[in-house]
Amino acid sequence: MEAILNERAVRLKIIIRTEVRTSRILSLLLQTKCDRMIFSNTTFKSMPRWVRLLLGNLGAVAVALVVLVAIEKTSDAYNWTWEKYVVKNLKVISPKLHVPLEGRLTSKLGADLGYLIFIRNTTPTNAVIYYPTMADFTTPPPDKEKSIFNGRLHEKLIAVRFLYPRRVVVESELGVTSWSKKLTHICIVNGHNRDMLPYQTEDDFYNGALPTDSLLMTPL
Amino acid sequence: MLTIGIILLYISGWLLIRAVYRDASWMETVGFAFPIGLFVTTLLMWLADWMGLRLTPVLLLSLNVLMTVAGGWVCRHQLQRSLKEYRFHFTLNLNNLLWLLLLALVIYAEASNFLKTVYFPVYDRDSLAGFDTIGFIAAQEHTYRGMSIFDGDYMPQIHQAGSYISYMPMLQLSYAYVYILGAATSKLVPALFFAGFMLGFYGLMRRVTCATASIVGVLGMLMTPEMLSFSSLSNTNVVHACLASAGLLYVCQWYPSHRFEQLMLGCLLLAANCWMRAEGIIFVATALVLVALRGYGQFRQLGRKGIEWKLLLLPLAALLPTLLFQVYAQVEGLTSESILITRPFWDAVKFGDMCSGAWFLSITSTYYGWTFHLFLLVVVLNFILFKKGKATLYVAGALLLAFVLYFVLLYHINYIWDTLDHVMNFSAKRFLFCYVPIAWYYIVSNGIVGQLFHQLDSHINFRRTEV
Repeated sequence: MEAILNERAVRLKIIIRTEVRTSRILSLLLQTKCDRMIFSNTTFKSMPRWVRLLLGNLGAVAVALVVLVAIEKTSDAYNWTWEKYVVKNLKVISPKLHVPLEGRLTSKLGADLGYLIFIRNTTPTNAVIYYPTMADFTTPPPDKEKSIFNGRLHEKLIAVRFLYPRRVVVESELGVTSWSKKLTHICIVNGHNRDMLPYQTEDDFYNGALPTDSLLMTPL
Repeated sequence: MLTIGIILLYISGWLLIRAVYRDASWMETVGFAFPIGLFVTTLLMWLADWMGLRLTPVLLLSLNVLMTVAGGWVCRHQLQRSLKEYRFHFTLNLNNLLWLLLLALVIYAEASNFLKTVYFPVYDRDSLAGFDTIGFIAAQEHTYRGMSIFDGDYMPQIHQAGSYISYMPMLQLSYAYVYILGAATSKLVPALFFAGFMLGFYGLMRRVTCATASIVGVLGMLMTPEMLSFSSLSNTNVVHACLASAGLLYVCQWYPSHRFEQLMLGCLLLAANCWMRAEGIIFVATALVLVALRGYGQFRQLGRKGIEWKLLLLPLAALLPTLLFQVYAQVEGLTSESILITRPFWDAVKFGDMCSGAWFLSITSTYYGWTFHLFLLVVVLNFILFKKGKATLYVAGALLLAFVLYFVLLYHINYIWDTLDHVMNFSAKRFLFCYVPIAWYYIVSNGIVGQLFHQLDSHINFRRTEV
């Protein structure tokens, strides 16, 4: 028992000695060398405490600023975070705080959102709508070179979010779900899906939602 | 109505934290009041919905008032004492100019981030095709389990692998909460969550290190590129990171101090984290290991009688939200095709891809800045050079264990809804958010760096350092 206790005491002494040594090294690093340079200087020591504190603080701020600017300049990641994210966001957003929510959202989602809002505004709330596929959004009409849509809002749940309470049916559900048999409107995009309507439409009708029952058509 | 709802959330969260952890600082209390308030409110909303009650504004506000009264009753003695001893005093503790400069940078960066978050309504794909839409529809239809988008005839793909039907419901119900109370967008939730976390994280670090080191930690964490930009979106990654890291850090603080209250609050946050995302169980497992290690230490010191087995119950209780939701999902048929491989297996290619992915994520500065470089550097420095530094290595150990467990879980996922390459190249950049606050906590509070900051602080602080 005694031997174990002695051994533990020796171990403890070693640990304490090492810790004292390491903390001394740290003190040397931070205190003694700095003291020798700044704080132990007799002129510095004779200054009032608040002046010493202020000088120490200003020194620390100056060093921190140099380090922060160096990090911002040398690292692409931090440069992006500060310049492109923090500063730019504040600059861009601050003057536009009056813009309504729909305008803010359109600035992020573009023409695709405009299309969804148009469908929402031109269909009744109880409509069951056939919603186009990604290919319909991205394939331009025959007489155009490029589609104005990028198709990022082609997913059903996204369409449901903006068209609610209207019901949305997508291509893979045709003939599978009971809702696909109750379609009241077909979404036409880039001129696609006109063939799903039981009646003829004008050739230059590219984007919108048309009722499956021609009697429900209202002039736009 | 929304303002009242948010205030009630804060009050109920504040009271709950005070009830669990009496000595929590005002920064920790205010910082974590919103997440804790949301956790309990969404749990009650889910229970009410399961019981068949309609999720209406009256019900939500009643639940909040009930929580506030219950919390006030539990804390009545504390509140009475506080009111008796209350004297108005305001002291502006400036600490030092360096601290002030860094604080100004934190406020500026977070203000910009907060503004961006609330300015833009939800526009990211994951939220529009999941969390936000579920919350929106739940608010419109006043139910969660009975939502039209959970109906197999309307959404035939609902039970496919990786479907949103099996997501843990905290964030969706949080969004439903604000939508029901009249919000035009749900972005207030992630904005308040992240801003509160800044404050709470600072308070957490102040317990173990000086003011200057704490503000450096907050700034370092805040400036992590991918995490900051993701914090302005509405998906679960950053809010999950806030809860997971704060919970695990409280358990890490309990480890040496052995203050039961810290373990309680840690486990409460971990339970909220499990309610947020299914992989929250990883952090509970890490907490369990820490508690078990502590028990082993007690066993070595005091023998079998010294072990407090009941402490293991707390992290285990943090798993309750996950278990409850699994039971609920089975009973209500809200399940999707499992993506988890439950048997042990060996796939060298997959393992290699995982390891290279994990290494790339940790080493590239594009996503996480210098967070993990600095972390590894201070771990090595403490391990080799500084004896005293070993005393804080359990924090680094907890981070590394949680990291390994995360990738073990990813290894056991069957990537049938997406390819592993695609997940590692595009989704995985969000996987390490949980480790960023823990890494910064360790970077500024470990033995060697903590000492350096302490020395610096003692030279430039207008007041004497309390730590």
